[in-house]
Amino acid sequence: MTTPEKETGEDGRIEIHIQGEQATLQLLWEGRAVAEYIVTISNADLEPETALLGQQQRLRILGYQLGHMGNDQNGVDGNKRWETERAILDFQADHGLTINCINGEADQPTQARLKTEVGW
Amino acid sequence: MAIQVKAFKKTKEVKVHSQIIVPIRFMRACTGPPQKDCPDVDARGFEMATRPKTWGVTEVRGAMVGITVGDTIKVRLSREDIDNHCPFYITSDKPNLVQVISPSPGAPVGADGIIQLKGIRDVRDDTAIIKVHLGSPEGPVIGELEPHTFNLIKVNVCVHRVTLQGANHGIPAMTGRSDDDITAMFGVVNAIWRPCGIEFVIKERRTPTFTLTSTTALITGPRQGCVVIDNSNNWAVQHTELMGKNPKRHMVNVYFVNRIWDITDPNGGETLGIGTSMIAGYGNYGVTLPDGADENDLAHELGHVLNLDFHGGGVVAHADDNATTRHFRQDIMTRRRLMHSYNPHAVETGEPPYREDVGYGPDLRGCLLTLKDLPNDDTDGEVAEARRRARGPIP
Repeated sequence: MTTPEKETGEDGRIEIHIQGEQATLQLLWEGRAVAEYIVTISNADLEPETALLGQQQRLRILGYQLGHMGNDQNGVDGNKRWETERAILDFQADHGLTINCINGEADQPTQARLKTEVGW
Repeated sequence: MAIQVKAFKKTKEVKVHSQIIVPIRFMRACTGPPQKDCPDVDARGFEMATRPKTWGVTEVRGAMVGITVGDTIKVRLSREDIDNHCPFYITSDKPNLVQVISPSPGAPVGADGIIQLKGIRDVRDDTAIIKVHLGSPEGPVIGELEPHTFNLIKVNVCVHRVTLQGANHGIPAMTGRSDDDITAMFGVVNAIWRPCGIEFVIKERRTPTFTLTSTTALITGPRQGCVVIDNSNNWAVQHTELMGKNPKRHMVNVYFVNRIWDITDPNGGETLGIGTSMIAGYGNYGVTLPDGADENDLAHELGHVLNLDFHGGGVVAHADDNATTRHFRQDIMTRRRLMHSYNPHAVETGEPPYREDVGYGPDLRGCLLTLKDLPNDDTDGEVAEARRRARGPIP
């Protein structure tokens, strides 16, 4: 599905109305796509916030970088790696949580806050 | 700065409907040993957290970096989710504070992602924003960096190359370091501290001979000629005694010794330095550094002298101390920091391999001195605190 080209406002936000379950956002330069993001518009559940995959899904939605592994090359694949640990640490720093992620493990307050911030 | 997409679907309840996009990241420009023009970037989270009173307000959402006035530093722009062929352009919103040296005006960032910034002025209640534009110098902003520019503060140091009495056991009682060794060490130390606008200057050199008497029971046998610590009983008493041995007032006194002997360790331990804060009421302050320590250790202990990790005159936990599992630099955020707790030169046994390199090469520790002051981190905001103490007066 194609949506019109839009520019962000000064607050960096874009709001779009779409049909279907998923949209691909493209950043354009001289008419060429230079970056693509999958924007999920879904009634389907995310994986539980207690699961690493669910944590990665939420971190990605919130803009934390997870590297490029996985089918979608966005680091969301349920596997532990240092980018996930860094993202959890960054998320904890941003949200006033205890900064304690070791070996990529998010504690319960972090899991709960991830769910709250994403809204699901 | 981030692009935030919010999508609506009219016909159904939507559970997941937004995506925040952060397509780039700022990083240290080089790997390997400390270099004064390659500072660590404080990229711990996107929020700017609590700001020292003199830093003004900011709308930046991203990373911070420090620059000494007159210096040019390098920072690497990493493409996280964006085509390598799409050009980026860099601007400073206040070139009277921080100037973009490279790329030159109107030119895109090179393939290596390196940008160079020059610190122009240190002012109160104001800050510059370095903006990354997509596609053209006027293109949309896809990333921001907040550099802080600091006037250089020079901290005078008196170096003591110490001989300790009582070495009749074959262990050298004098530090094995030469004046040249120590000068070279301070070169690296100053590369680490440069982004904070702090330079340690060796103003005086002494070669004293001392006898430590505060714990005579501990300095028998092979411990003679060493600075002995006892974790079970006023552990740093000999360090404190040494700090009182002919110190040069109004300077930071650094005592180079042959060894610090940890009496609680059957093998004599391998304590890699002791540093005590200069704040009033804490007593003799300074650094004891054994021959087994390196430049990172010296820079770390000098951080203690400038009151890092100390609050209210008492010792508190280091950044990564854990009440139940102390002595592990357990996560990559704290492994990056200069002010860590346990200080092994190599990684911990059994840690995942990815921990072995935090930007300085395999097994090498990081040197980040934190600019951000996160509400959930008791020991960060280190640059502001260190500068406050370095500015003096030094007792």
